[in-house]
Amino acid sequence: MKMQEDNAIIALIRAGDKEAYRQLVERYQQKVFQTCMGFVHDEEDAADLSQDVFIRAYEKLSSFKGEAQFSTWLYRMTTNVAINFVRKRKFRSLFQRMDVGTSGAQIKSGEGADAHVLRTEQKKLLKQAIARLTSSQQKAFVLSHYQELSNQELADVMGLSLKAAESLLFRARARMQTTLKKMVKL
Amino acid sequence: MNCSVFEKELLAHQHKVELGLDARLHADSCLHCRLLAQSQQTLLSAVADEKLVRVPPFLSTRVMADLNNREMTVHSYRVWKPALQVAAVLLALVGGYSGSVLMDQGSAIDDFSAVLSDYFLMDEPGLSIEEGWLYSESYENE
Repeated sequence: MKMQEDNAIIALIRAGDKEAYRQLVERYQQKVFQTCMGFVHDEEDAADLSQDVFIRAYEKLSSFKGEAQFSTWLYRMTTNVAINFVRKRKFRSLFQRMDVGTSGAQIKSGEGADAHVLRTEQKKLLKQAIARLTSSQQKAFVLSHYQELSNQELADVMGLSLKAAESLLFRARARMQTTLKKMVKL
Repeated sequence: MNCSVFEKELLAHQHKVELGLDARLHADSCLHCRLLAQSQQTLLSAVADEKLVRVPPFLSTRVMADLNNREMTVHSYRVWKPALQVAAVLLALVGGYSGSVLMDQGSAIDDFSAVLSDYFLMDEPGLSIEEGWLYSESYENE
């Protein structure tokens, strides 16, 4: 049903009704934003990245053939754009000597100092653990944990077989555990 | 339960660490495994925390405005493109003409000074010019 609705909206856009694209954006913006958060861990960056993803998706809509679900196509684009953004940021930080790993945890209204410190530490741990994954493992982890995609959906988005997607996800979790083990080593 | 089995069990927890009785007993007796379970829980809590963040309002408005701006830029470029092309050609023509005029002026000054030096500074002013004119091939051919 959702796939048919998406395809109907896409047909409208292709017919020249650009405003119809707003419906697609509103339908998927939270999911795209969440995925971006999984990669950049910063609300402002995630919002900018989401905007970038939707602009690119609109520009590349002609390449969407409608064989797969629009969401699958969109999530694949989101992960690719996000990975590229993270790579560029890492490259820039080499020259700017900015510690991007500690930014992004702003004090929420009504949040105590202790809670803020705890949340900052949590975020730091998460960033470090995700940063040690390969690009494919990062994609698998974010799509599974942030988007809560099933393994089959994950396989579709990543263009893998179900077995390969399951294996990739397992390796991502195992690698994260290894990172955590190193961190807690006594 | 040993540490290896504990770690395998921990891997199975995707969204929240909820240890079974055996695992809890092991964690009570093994500091390393207890810390590992705590750090995994911390990590999963951070994921849950980030998942709660809502998309900023007006994202769709920002996207649509950006798309319209891009189209306006392309559209205005399309409108101005022929005018810009004509202006570029005209500029090239005017520039070329001005350049040639300036060069001519420069050479004309040089010619004038050559005539002056020839006419007044030689022993028989004007003679060489007159001779040059009188015995030139063009004169003879006429």
